[in-house]
Amino acid sequence: MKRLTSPAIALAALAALALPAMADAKTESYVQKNASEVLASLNDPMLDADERTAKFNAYMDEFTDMKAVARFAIGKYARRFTPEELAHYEKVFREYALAVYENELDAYRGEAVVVKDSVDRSESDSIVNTVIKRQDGKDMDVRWRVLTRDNQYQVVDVALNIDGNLIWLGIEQRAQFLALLDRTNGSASALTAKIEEMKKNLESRSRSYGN
Amino acid sequence: MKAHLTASALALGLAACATTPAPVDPGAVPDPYEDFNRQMFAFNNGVDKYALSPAATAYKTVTPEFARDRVGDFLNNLKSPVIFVNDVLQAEPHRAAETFYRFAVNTTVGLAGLWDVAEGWGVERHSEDFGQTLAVWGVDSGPYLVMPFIGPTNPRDLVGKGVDPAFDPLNWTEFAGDPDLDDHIAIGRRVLGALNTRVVLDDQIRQLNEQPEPYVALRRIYSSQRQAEIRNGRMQDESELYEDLPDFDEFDE
Repeated sequence: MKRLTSPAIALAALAALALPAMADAKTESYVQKNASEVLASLNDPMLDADERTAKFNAYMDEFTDMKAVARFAIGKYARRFTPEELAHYEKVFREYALAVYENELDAYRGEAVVVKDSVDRSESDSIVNTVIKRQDGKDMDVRWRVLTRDNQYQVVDVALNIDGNLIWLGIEQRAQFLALLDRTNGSASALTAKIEEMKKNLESRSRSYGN
Repeated sequence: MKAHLTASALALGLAACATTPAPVDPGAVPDPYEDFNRQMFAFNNGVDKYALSPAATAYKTVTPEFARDRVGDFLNNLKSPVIFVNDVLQAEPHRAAETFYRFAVNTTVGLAGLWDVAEGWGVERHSEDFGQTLAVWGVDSGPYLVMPFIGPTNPRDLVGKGVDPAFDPLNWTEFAGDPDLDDHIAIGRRVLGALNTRVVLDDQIRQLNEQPEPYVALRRIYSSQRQAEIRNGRMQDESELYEDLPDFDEFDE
């Protein structure tokens, strides 16, 4: 009996160790399908700039939980803003975030998203590791944080591996938004004005690069 | 100062009690000298705005990109002995061999380092310095600091900056007939290096300055990038990588 118990415990321990790295096939295929569609919308030669942006935004609205991301980015201030301030902030944030993601993903000129594996942080919180294949051979290591709510998957953050430095875009944004809000006594208008300014800068840069 | 810090800590504590516990921030950097650091950050921004940036713009205007690339490759090649010594001190024989190979190839085939031929042959450049060596040896970074002209750093990296010149043969070379020539070369390297780097980083500096809090952004980028350099570009262990990610639903409806 003792002989049987030890391998069983060892197996159970191995299984427990393997659990966090177990690939949730559904989450992985969700990212694979949707990320590929988002990239395809950016690479579609049949679309003009406005059509491309509209299609990209529609995909992103489905793919990401923009409201959750917006609230995450202001942390405790989500409860301190008035409903009007929060609604205006969420609108401005969504427009800015979509512009950032379009700009970033467009810059990679990615062709295909290849899912490598995934890590489950909990039953409803997974990280899907992918590689975005590029024409120039400089493949990008991109990680997607996917939450499951009411049996629906939605991406809430994206991380880029830059020379071993994993940068979560949402977390970096949050650090700065919170610092600005702390400095301005929680001023919603100061934050939204800054976000609008950043969006304008981004658009003028995109135009000057001919995107 | 102490009273101010205590009051701040108390206020933070009260605020935290009044709301939910503070969410985890995986990229948070302790910054006990933030007031001083912010002043130095503002000073450096002023130096950049009124001196370095205009000088770099002028330099860019009078030098074609081809020439700037040659200057960059040449100056990078001169750093090879320092990188090599730090590779050895970190017990990284493979990387040390790469640095030695790159220096030999670029100094000869690459015409005194003007062309990074080794990269074309598949041996990419990597950087090392004594600050990284100290980190590999287990020395703690100490608090985040911003120093005038140097920018973001910490006590460990400051010591590293002081030690690295000792590994550079050019700093030990005396030129017969012109005892000041080595000093002039050192100054020339620094000025040219600063201008060349400023031109390369122009886009990134502009984007940084457009951020809601450039000081906070730089503090986080510097610290995480430095950690990645110390790990020689290797990622953290997968099991630790996602441990500290903050909860997303905390402030949701």
